Amino acid sequence: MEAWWPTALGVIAGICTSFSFLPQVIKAWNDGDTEAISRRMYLVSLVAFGLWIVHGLMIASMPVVLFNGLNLLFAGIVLALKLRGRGHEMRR
Amino acid sequence: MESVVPMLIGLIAGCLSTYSFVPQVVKCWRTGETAAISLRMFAVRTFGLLLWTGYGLAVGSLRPGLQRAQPDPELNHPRAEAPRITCLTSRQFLAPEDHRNQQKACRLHRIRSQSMIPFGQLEIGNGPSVSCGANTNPIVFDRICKAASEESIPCRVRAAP
Repeated sequence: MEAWWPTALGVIAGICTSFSFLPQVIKAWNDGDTEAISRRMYLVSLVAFGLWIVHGLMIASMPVVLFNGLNLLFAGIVLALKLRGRGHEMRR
Repeated sequence: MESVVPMLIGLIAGCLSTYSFVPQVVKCWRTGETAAISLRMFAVRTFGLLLWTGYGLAVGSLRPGLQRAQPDPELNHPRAEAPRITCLTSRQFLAPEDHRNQQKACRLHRIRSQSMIPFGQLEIGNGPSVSCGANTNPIVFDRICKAASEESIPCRVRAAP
């Protein structure tokens, strides 16, 4: 029988890492304050999360795919807010 | 080598996600300014990354499916499988009430479970019986079973322990 605990471990790990990302998203969403956020860093992060999903699918790992999907969503939101904020500044 | 591609993608992904973390470290290191960083969130994240390390180790070393992705050429030889199959089938046929082992043996040999008979219970009229045991050539046994199932010839498997 396949062991269940590595998956449980992966799920807990994913909850910890993905949700520690959430305050940043909430802050950027509520305040629209994305001044301190590095655009390059988030672009690299997006590529990394995408590749992690491909890797997770290849090794058939549910936690890796699930939580990197979540990370991709969060990072995407932050980056979208950052880019939009920059657009506002340029228009001003 | 199909296992190289996911490993390579994982390595690139790991490099990028670690690299995206570098500016933060550099900034904190240079300016010594960490007031904007939430301690609790960083503690949770560090704990999470620790758990990911545990997950990675567990998945890499314990999941049989992943180990099978890198076949050992020595083990690929049909002869190397013989002692395991023989042990399993002998035990199964001697203890026919053990259904899980029975299913396992059936899968290993690609035979129907109904065609298995307990040791010593050969009935006339159900087709020939094929022996399996320590002194049976496992390759010939497999081929007989395969040919029988392909041609729909009724045959039983008998253990010769």
